[in-house]
Amino acid sequence: MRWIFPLIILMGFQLAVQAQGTDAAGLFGNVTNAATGEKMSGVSVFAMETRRGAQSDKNGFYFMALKAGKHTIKFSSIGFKPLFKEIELPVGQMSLEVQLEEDTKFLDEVTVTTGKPEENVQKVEIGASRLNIRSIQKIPAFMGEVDVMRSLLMLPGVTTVGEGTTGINVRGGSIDQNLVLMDDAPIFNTSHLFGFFSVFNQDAVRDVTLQRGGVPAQYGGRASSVLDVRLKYPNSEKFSGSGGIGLVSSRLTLEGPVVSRKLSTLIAARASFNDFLFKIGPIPLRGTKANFYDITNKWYWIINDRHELTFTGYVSNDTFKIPSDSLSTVDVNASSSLFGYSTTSGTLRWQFDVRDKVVWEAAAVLSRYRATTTVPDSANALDLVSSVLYQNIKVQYSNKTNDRHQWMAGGGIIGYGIAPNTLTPGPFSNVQALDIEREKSIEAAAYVEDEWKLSQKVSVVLGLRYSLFMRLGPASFYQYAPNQPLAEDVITETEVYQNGDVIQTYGGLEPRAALRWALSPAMSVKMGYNRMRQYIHLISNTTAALPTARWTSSSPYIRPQIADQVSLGLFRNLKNNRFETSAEVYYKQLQNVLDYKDGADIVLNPALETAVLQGDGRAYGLELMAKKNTGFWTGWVSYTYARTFLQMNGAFPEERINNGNWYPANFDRPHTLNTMAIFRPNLMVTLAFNFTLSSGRPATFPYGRYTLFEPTIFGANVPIYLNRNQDRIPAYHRLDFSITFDQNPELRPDRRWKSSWVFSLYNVYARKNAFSVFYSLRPYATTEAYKLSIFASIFPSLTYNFKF
Amino acid sequence: MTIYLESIVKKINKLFSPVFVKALTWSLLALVSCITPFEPDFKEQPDAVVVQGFISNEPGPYTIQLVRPANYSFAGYSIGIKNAVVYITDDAGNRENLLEVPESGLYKTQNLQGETGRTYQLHMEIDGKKYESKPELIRDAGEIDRVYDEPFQEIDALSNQSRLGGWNVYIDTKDPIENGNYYRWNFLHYKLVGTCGSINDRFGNPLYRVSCCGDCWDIIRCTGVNCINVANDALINGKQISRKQVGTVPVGCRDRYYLEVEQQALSRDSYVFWKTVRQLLQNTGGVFDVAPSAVPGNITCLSDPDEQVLGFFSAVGISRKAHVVDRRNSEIVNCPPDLPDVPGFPAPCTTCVQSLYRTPQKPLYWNF
Repeated sequence: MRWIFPLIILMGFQLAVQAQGTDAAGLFGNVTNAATGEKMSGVSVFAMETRRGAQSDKNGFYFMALKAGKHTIKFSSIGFKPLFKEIELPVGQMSLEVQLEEDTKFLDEVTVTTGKPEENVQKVEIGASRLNIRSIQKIPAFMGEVDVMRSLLMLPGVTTVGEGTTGINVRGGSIDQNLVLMDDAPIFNTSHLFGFFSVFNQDAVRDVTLQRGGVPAQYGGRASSVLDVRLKYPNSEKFSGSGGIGLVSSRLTLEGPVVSRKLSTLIAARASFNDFLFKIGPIPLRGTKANFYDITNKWYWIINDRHELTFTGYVSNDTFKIPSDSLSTVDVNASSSLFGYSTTSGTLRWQFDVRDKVVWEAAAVLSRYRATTTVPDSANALDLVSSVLYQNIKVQYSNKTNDRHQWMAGGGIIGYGIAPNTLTPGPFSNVQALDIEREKSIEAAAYVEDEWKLSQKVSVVLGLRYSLFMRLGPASFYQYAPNQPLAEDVITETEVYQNGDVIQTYGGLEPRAALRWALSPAMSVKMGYNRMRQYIHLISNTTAALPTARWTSSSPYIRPQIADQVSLGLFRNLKNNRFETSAEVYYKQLQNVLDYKDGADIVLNPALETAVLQGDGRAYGLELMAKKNTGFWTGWVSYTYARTFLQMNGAFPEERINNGNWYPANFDRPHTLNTMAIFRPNLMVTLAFNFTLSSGRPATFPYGRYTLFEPTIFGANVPIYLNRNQDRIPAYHRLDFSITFDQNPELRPDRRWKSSWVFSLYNVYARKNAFSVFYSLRPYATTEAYKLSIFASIFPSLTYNFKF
Repeated sequence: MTIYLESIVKKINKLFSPVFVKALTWSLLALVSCITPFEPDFKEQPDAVVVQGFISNEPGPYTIQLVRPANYSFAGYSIGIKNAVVYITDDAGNRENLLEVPESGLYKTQNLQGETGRTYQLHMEIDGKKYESKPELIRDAGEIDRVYDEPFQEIDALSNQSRLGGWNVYIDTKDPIENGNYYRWNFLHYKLVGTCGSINDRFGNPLYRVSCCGDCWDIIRCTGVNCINVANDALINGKQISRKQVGTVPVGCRDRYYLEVEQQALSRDSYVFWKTVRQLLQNTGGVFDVAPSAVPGNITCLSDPDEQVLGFFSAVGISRKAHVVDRRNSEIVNCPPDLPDVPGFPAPCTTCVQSLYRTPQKPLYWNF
């Protein structure tokens, strides 16, 4: 059935030829990937002599009208060797099937946007960056672990509070304001081992797209950005595998057809084997255990020409055993504790091609995040469990048949179940059981979006999303005495809601808009506006969020966060798309941003509203980027100027931070410079360099100190902290390097087993970058201030990768 | 590969320092991180008032200290505030003025005796400005049911052998049914000493010991951040608080180690104050440390409500229980030899001077 549309074109052309009766001719065929047999869309087909061009459609079919005669046709696509075919075209039609080979020589190592380089200028979307996995693999990796999340830090507008921490901050948003989707399933914790590595397996990921401005209407629920991680489709033609052995983890991926060209599957597993690092360490560390694994499984079933079904399953697990730890956050002493967290998700997706360019899609998503802390000591034995359950059903219809209006509409409903903390004592334990109430809520949304081509030069994307959030019973909420700050001691009564009661409703419109005005084929101006509403929040009072940090849904006391962003960009490509440049500015306004109260308990607090504050935020910035796409040297340079400020100005002094004045957010780093350079002198060697420089993040330094007047800790100096985030830790810079040795493909081209060695150096000049600055309070210390560096040394690593 | 492992091992060794004990808990970080001195920008001398002191159900005098804080950037000292008017009132309408100890910033009560169940409030007038604390109640601290000790093993860093490391001291106590009880525990060791002084050579090195003219006890307190031992009953409300570790007894001479455990009942504000102080003192700047914050106090300036007043005035209910750790059969000993006696007869002696660290008074429960 897929042939219907091409047939129509061909028939139409036939009629045209007959009508004209000239030497008109047509060339058509399919373009496939020589390695995988996949149909290739977006391949540019170009007749060199007549300078006419066409593109293959999503089924790999192309058609070009030419005059009969001799032609040289160039087939090209990024990442593939261009193919030149000399043909003698007769009057009428000629079919030409083409296979393109992947270009191992001049890969698009640093292509931030996949597809055609000119997309940068021509697409309407603004603030979007796409990284394919091959680009990510070229970035020198910490301890050899290719890391999707860390690679995003090389993009303008993306920062983090420090190395080895979880999550990213996008354009002034906190880490929970990013919607991270892996094949439609949200990931609530993107890191392994508390933030050292990300949970995505490089062998299973196809590409990642970060939308940080002009977010399309189909996405919602988070205030800052959308990170869409798309997994590979399993190879439906032949069986293959890949994997690697690294210092931290080893991985193996197998994929292939189960029923040829009908049903195929991919399974990718990764596990860490790094316990030996602790065993050779000093005695206190020897009881430490830190392990993780993740398994990704994807099924792809082509039911028929029109229907296809995919299923993605994902399991990730971390365990971390610490020989001695005082669980100071919950006031329990313990001699050992075990932390663990896991993500389980599944996505079932159905796609129905009604006809060409008219598609129905439906998906059912389930995702669960669960974190546990276990203390085995008998008298204090406890299990502390928290979890987030996400269930989602959605449907989308898109119609791109009209050249001027390509539109889509859709909707979905999400059910959240949050179990903030359940503390279960052991059999002989004196710890009291505590079960903070489950939070049940639903979020429903509907949207329409239209990409409207006003003229050749001007296109707009107009989107409108409506989201509705309902907090549901059963639940009980404390009532507080009026005209007083919320606190435990002003609780007057408890209001109890039954199952099915709607406790609180929030909702509203979320307009999205983007405009592209092409000044020339290689230059455009773009504008974007979006409003985003966020109903669930991550509450943390530590510098970097712990895996056990608490998720909470909006309630009568905690209002949804709302972000409004406007952005403006200038995009220009030079020298026939060899160079891409862009400049973007944005201004963002945030409502109901959350921050914690000084000294507040969050983990086991049944009245969370007494521990947090909500206020305003504003962020603005400039992002400049220049990129070289082809040649022996490729790479990019980006500079970002970005500021983020918050204001917590409640009605009472206790509900203010810094007396209600604006203060910089934890991750406010004004200047960031990122440079990435890749040199590929021949087929066997790739050298990559990566340099990053940024301002230090804000910190709170003591304003003075006084000596405790107390016999117990006589002489201890208590630091006096007044205002939050008024100082800065020193600037951060780092150079990384990696070298990849591939086999020479020309030596034994028929060999199936392909392998490569990657040697990388992280922090080449071993700079002790500050993660934080803190003050020693020992009366006999000679120095007062210290800085803590996390990755304080040069980290060499070696990884062996293979493919068969 | 080997280069990498070496660098890791080197890093680990570097880390094996007391500064980093807390960060060891996040051992993975410990594998790769490091700590170096840092020179912050100079900051001006803060202009604020720090008020510290408490009243309890134990006999006075009670002392209140008033100082101006020191700068953080160099080794400065807090300066005592002179000529302040300080008085304490209670809920029965009594008032007692505190007397200034000259040149120290200390103010002492004369006759005041705190009583359980009474509420006290501190008032001050400093440089024409009026300050006062929130009213604070002395709560019943309850009784400690039991104090007991258990030996623990440690691993000798040199020989890698397991050996006796000392004794952990625990208490069991009953928590009242009602919610909102806040506790703090202290640990005091009394040691009967025979030496009250020494005769030194001209370089200050001690040559001979000088014995005490009577019984004399050294008071050894738990010192350091971990001695701010606070807890609330949010998790154990109405149950037994058991195996709460209150201190550690080191390996020493083969003797009986006398100690007193002090159980304090705090107000919620006071609990939050100590908890925050402890958090601040423990802060290693680590990834998962709670970000530093202002220590919430309970004193306000009446003349200028925006003024920051630091410190805390607390009312504490105290109960004590004594315990003896029997070290007489200890498998290992670490008992430093005494200095030789002064030659000649009769040997000179010196008096035992009462201080925070020494007392001629027999401890309350000393019966051996």
